[in-house]
Amino acid sequence: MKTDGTTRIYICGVGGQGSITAGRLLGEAALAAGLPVTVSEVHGMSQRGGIVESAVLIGGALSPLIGKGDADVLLAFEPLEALRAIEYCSDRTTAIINTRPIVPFSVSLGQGKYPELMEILSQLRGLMKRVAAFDATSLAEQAGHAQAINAVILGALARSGATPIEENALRRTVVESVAKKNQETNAKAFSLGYKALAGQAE
Amino acid sequence: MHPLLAAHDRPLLLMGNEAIIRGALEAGIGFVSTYPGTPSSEIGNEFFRMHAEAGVHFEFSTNEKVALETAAAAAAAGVRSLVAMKHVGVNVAADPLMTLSYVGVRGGFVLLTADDPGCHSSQNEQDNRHFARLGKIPMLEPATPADAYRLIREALELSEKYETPVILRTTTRVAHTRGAVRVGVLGDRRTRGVFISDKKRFTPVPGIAKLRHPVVEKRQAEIEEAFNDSPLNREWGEGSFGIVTSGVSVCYVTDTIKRLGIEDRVRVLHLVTTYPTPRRLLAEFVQKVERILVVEELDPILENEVRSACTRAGKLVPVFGKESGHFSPLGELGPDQTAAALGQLLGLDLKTVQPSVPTGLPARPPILCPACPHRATYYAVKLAMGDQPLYLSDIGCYTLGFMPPIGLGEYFICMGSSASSGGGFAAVTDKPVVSFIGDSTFFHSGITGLINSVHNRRDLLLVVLDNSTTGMTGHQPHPGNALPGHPAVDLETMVRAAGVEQVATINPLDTRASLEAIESLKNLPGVRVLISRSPCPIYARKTLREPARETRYTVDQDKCRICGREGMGLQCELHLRPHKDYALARGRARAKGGPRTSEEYLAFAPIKMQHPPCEAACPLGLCVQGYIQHIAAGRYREARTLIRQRLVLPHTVCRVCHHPCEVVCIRGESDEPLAINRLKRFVMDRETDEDRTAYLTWLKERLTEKGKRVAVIGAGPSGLSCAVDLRLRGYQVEVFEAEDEAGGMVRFGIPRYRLPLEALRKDLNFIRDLGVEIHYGRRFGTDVTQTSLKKEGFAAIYLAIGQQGPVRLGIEGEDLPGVQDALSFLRVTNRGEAARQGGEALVVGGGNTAIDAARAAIRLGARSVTILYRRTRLEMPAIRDEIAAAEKEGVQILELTEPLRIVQEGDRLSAHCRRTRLGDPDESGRRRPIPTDEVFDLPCDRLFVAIGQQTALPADGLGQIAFDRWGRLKADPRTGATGEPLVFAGGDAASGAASVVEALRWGKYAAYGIDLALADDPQKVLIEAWRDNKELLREPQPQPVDLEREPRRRAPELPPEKAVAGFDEVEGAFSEADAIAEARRCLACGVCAVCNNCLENFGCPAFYREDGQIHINPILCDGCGVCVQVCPNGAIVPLEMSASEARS
Repeated sequence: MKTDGTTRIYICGVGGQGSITAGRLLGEAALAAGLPVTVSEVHGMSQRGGIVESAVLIGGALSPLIGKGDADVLLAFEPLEALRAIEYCSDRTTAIINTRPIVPFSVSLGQGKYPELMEILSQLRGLMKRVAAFDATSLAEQAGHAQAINAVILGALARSGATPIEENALRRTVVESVAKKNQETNAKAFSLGYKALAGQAE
Repeated sequence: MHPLLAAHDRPLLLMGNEAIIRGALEAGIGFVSTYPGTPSSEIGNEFFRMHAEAGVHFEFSTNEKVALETAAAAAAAGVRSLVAMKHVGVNVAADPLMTLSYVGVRGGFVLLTADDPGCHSSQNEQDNRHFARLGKIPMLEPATPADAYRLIREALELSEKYETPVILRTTTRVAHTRGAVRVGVLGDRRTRGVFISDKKRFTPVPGIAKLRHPVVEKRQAEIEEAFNDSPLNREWGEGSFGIVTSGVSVCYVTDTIKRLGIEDRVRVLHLVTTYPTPRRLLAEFVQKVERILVVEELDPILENEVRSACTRAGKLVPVFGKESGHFSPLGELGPDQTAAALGQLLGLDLKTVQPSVPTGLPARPPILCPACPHRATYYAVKLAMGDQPLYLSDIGCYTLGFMPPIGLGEYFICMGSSASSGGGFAAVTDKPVVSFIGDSTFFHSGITGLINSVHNRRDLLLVVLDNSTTGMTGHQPHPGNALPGHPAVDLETMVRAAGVEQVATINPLDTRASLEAIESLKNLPGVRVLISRSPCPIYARKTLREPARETRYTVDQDKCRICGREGMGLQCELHLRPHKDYALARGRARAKGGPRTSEEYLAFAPIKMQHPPCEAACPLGLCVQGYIQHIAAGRYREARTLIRQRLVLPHTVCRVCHHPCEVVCIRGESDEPLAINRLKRFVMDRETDEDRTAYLTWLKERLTEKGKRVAVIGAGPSGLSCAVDLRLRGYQVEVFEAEDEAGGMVRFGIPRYRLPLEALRKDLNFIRDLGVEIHYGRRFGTDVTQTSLKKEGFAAIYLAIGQQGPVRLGIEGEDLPGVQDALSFLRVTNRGEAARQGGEALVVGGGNTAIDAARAAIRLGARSVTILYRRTRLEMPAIRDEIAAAEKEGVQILELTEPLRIVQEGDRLSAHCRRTRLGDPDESGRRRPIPTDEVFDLPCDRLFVAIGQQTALPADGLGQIAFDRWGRLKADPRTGATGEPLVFAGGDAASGAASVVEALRWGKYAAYGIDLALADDPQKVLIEAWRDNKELLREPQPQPVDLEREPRRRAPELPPEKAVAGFDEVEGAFSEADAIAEARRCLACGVCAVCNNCLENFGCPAFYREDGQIHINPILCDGCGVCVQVCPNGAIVPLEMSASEARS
């Protein structure tokens, strides 16, 4: 299939991590930059610690969904969910992955085993153009609040250059999306994410 | 100001639902009602927040029917109205909707239905386009948020123009998609109306309904005509391939055409006004194309309309879609399916390669939040009611309770069904019925079912899970909430008014009080209602603005009773099995004063031992407490797995073991010890062939071949134990046995009334099926030697040749006919070759062989049998129960007697004996017999010598293996290593005659030693850590407590007179009831009580297992404290109390 000038960003994580907000912020930033954008979210059952997926399409596509193997960017807030999202990726995909696992409760009940992180990353690296993996949760905590993971991830995305949104535009949206008292945390988290990617081998 | 009310000169990124709100506000909406349901919920949420500011009437109605009726009334009075609901909500509202179509409206009236293809958060994926047809109601379908914004106004205007209700249908991917929307200005709205009476219209009695029907038909025709020319429907493209689509599917179509580069080959008709179907428009389209693909989600509704349009147009073009198999009627559509269908029909090579998701990833289902009061209610109900009842659920957060670990909820179909279907089940089934229903759901439609169950006298316990909000959809209020201007409807009053007499209200966070309340309702007849009231913690914080709880909890690892011994090679996966018995937890929840029952002891045991004495005393280190607890809980398969993991001959050992575990049982200190071995027998007897095969398969799946061969000499317990362990470690094992049957001493030394051949064969077959090969009639030293085996390619040898040689008395007359060593006698007897013999028999010795020979002699017809022993009964090494059984069968025991010589007297014998007395203890710890002057003669017909065995050393082939003065081979008990490289030894041959479990232990350690010697990488060898039983038994024990005595259960036995008549097994098996009762006497003194209660019965997601321990994630913990009451071991404590632990 031909490219259509649209950047397709697949976002996945666990309920409560703020991955839906990340999608919305990307959408806001795209809109502010005058780019056509579609953001889709799944609500409902996913809120209770389940899997949360969303899709952001920047550049004119109308579809709210991303086809299999068709994501240009994967933003994974959790490593197991990154692996589960592999079917949306290809050798064109740039992935930004939070390496901090959230072990599903089913594992504590003995229903399945959480894969080794190295195993997850090597599978993803074997497929994709670029995989940037780092502990975004601790960077968020370092910035001031674990809830700032989305700012960290979006900072890394800005550095990756994988979307048509400029760094400053994305940073502004991320910072201004929260109440004044939390803006410093978000700004710091964004910068830490940005730097984390700068430190990764290209 | 609410952002949806503000003026915006730049486009907004709006969700479909938000776009509808804004569009409605701009179009002058005056009345909005809804019942929340995903994916429509945001509409209600935002109106709830800003309706006062916007000046709009808004209500969260009791249910969708009510919502539709109120909005319809507002519209009848001329006020523009919107009623919003999820697709299944329309089912509830369908009754008024169908007739509303007849009577119509005056102000604009729009029903928003949000369909959920793919069942993202719904119980079905019904296609609500059918409702438009059923009710003859116009329908518009947006594709994007911008569309939705525009179409709500169109819908209201259409409604007003034709005085008809209009349905606006979204789907999840419209409702929950955000896109750019350029908004306009808010217009004036009318919120007060006047209802102008028109009885010929608004009172549809049959005569009037009949008159309204033609109005509907006429309206249909007019609207269809208008739709044929509506600018909302668009056509574009060129070429002879036609696509007809509607809703979100047009997005997939548009993108796919662009990416496939087929703009010049396809012509698209996008319908927005999908009902009444613009048939002329479709017929015209048909004329322009040669083939048509219909792209729509769910049912082939548009597809059939296109087919019928072909007929009308008189042009039969092929129509593709669901019927042709290009699309599925299941689930939602996406770009993949659209591209695949178009690619196939247009002959394009799409070449899609996509990586697949690895299989076996752990699932991440949604789960009730930490501190959710529903979990606490479920726990208390489960504790009080057990697994017996039929549990029905309903729709809400609590539906998640049907999943593990709570697992309550086996049936529900729709909102409110639990109250009514509970009555139905109660009417026709025998189980007690418990129905769960949420507060909002109860108001929605549970109350009618409750009234029905009361009126029909059903036996039903209805649990109303009252968390004061509508949790699942985002904390919308319901009629039970008091809000300014909205008085609360009291649940309990309402339930009582419905005729329920037995009503209890609990705070589920108080487990004990909840348990008592549930138990008081448990066995009452009729309808009982339990109102379990505690607000949803998220709602409490966000809406009620209650302060967050400060306390966090942690697990005191010293008190937690999860097994911590996984490191010792005990591959116990068993604590992960569902916990069906709640005895532990019940004990804690009901603790009272006075002597403690087992349950209470378990709940409050002061310390836990790393190695409870039963396990510490077992030569094999069997997890006795573990399998006993499994038996107590009825988990027999798990109990057997735990036994089999360390015990090679379970069917044999459970009959013949001398059970040192029972001697040290802590219950035995203030009561009788637990009947451990009989419990093992009980659970092994219940093993079926299928069970055995399943376990064997499980073992084999885990076996990795190492490609090396090991020879084992002797198929007795020690040899077989070594062979099995080596096999499991991946070696090819061949056993060389001198006799013609396997089993060694248990086959030939133990009489059949103790060990039926059938039991032994089960064990031997298992070993054979595991792949251990046994060669019979091959005696070591003559038929096989070290040299010959090494030549045959065996990498190592294990010598388990046993002690088959009798120890002689060394007195005169020992070789007289009629004097026989007991072992030879037993061997002949056990082969079934012994002749019946009357007369009087003497047996010399005090061990098990002496008892066995005595009891065998009685069975063969001896008139009397007397055992001569030079010490007293107390010093006899034989198993206590065996001594007692022998005496019951008539065996006499003559203590403090030793024979000095045997003489022939006619055709009889006479043993000349001497009386002894006891002196100081010798090195064995037993008091030494000292000769006295008293002598006497005992006449007899036969005399059996049973004073011990010795190793029958082979004539040749021991090489460098040393042996001691009793002929015992010198070997290291930790590895079986001898002086000869790669030759190992153990069992009776090394230790001297000992117990079966002792022999098995030798084999186990030798297998480890051999693996260490042969493995390519000794680091990877599974360690069999050395267990020093005496050392293990030194661990401090819990202080004795005032324990309620519970007598040891007795298994049935053959009465002595029947027992001595043959060789039938004397000991019977426990009944199941007795076995469980006996197992429950276990005090679970050790760390592992196979307790996994917090994970398996409670299941708070703040809990997790790591490195064999249970922990609480302080970030997820919300401080509700229910787990403190749930833990049967008192192991959950506030975090402050062990701050150091929290830090680590």
